[in-house]
Amino acid sequence: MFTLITFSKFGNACMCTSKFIKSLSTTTNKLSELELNLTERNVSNEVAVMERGPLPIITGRQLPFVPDRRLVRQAWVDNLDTIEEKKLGLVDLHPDIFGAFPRIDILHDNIRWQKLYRYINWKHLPNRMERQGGGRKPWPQKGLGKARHGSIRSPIWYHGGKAHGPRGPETNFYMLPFYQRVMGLTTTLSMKFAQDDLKIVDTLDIPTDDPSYLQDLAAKRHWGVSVLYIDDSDLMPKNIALATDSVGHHNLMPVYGLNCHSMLKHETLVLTLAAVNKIEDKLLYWLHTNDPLTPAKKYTGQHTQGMQ
Amino acid sequence: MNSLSLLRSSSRVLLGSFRNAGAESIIAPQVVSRRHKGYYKSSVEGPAEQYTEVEKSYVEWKFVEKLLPPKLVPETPSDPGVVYPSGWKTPNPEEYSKLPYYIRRTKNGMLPVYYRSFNRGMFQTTRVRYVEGNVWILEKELGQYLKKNFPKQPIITHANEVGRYVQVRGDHEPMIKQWLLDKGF
Repeated sequence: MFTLITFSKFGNACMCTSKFIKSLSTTTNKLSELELNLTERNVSNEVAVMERGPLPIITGRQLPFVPDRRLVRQAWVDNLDTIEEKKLGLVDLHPDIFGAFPRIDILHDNIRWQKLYRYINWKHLPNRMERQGGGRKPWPQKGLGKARHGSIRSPIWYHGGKAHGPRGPETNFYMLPFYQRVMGLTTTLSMKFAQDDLKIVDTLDIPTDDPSYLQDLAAKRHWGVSVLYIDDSDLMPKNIALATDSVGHHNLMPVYGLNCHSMLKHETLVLTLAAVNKIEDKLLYWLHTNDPLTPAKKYTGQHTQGMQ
Repeated sequence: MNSLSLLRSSSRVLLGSFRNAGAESIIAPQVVSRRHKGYYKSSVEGPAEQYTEVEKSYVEWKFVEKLLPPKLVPETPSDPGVVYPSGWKTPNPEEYSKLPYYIRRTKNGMLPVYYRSFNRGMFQTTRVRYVEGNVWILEKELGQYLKKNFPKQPIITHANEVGRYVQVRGDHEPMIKQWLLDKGF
């Protein structure tokens, strides 16, 4: 749960990008689907007819805070409603989010943190006090010609306690600094984009809930085995939710769950236009906020104080 | 309000009786000090004539908004090479565009040159961060410039391409900043 950066407090901050592609948010489709679901529960393989506005969907966006000497990145907007790829338009991407310098050291810190913070070391060996018995002196101190011993659970005894063994369970939780987490996201998105592993689609609406549809689509478009679909909200369209449910390597994720580990785990990252908008809004907000220290202080200190 | 005042009066009575417990025959006026200093000690509410009526108005809210700090740092002015009365200078692309490296200003419009001393001042370093382009040429030119100005000092530079910074040992922050400003960054 710590992989995500929660932006809910300042969500939809005063960025000017949101109004340009707000109409493409898939939430309305999802809600109407839910209503349909309540009335008639027909889960069948009927091919629905998708409706879309006039093409091209998007030709340009006003991007704030574009630095000097940086080109605005551009990407094709693809579709998901046919197996064959259709170019629906071009979308401008912010160079600080999708064209950032790949700080692979920061990326490594992020991946290491994501693996470690949830890892609990359960290794434990009992010491001489925790072994059973051993309270009685095994034989008298003098007169037997044997070595002096006071307990059969002494560390030098066979079946004795461990002198300096692992004292588990130990937590490895720590919090990576906030702006390293932000930089990890921008680095990973930029690397995915530079390697052509980042695809942008209009919506996640697909005509059928058959799992083989998405696999055929990924095979046809050379997307590799594993694909991560990201939308702006966690209320996903019904067909893609059913289609990805039984397939382990096709996964859905809302924007608030975006993290470096998952992006690297999947060969292809598929973002909807609404997800692109939201990711840019939130990351740009933290890169240009007037109050940078509030999130930085959020988890440091209070969590680590008790453990040290 | 009523319960609070009741509580106060009862505690006053108790205090007075405790003080006079040893000398019952002496009838002394109970002087209770009223100090309306703290929040809890002060009376909650004055008489009704003291206050005026409250009216909600959103007309003047725009003047409050002027006082609120903006959520985002505004974009820096883009006029090239202008020196403001504060001494702050905007970057000039005409000057730096020929160079093989580029140093981006921070979001606050400052040059990313940072001085750091550690180990109780034992070590001092100055770091130029957010270098784009060729880090090695910047390191070389910066070293030559500092060596020219400080011929008797050892100038030890270090460049990190992955971390995008050039580091110099010693406290050279104002010198490096001026040098970068002269180059148009």
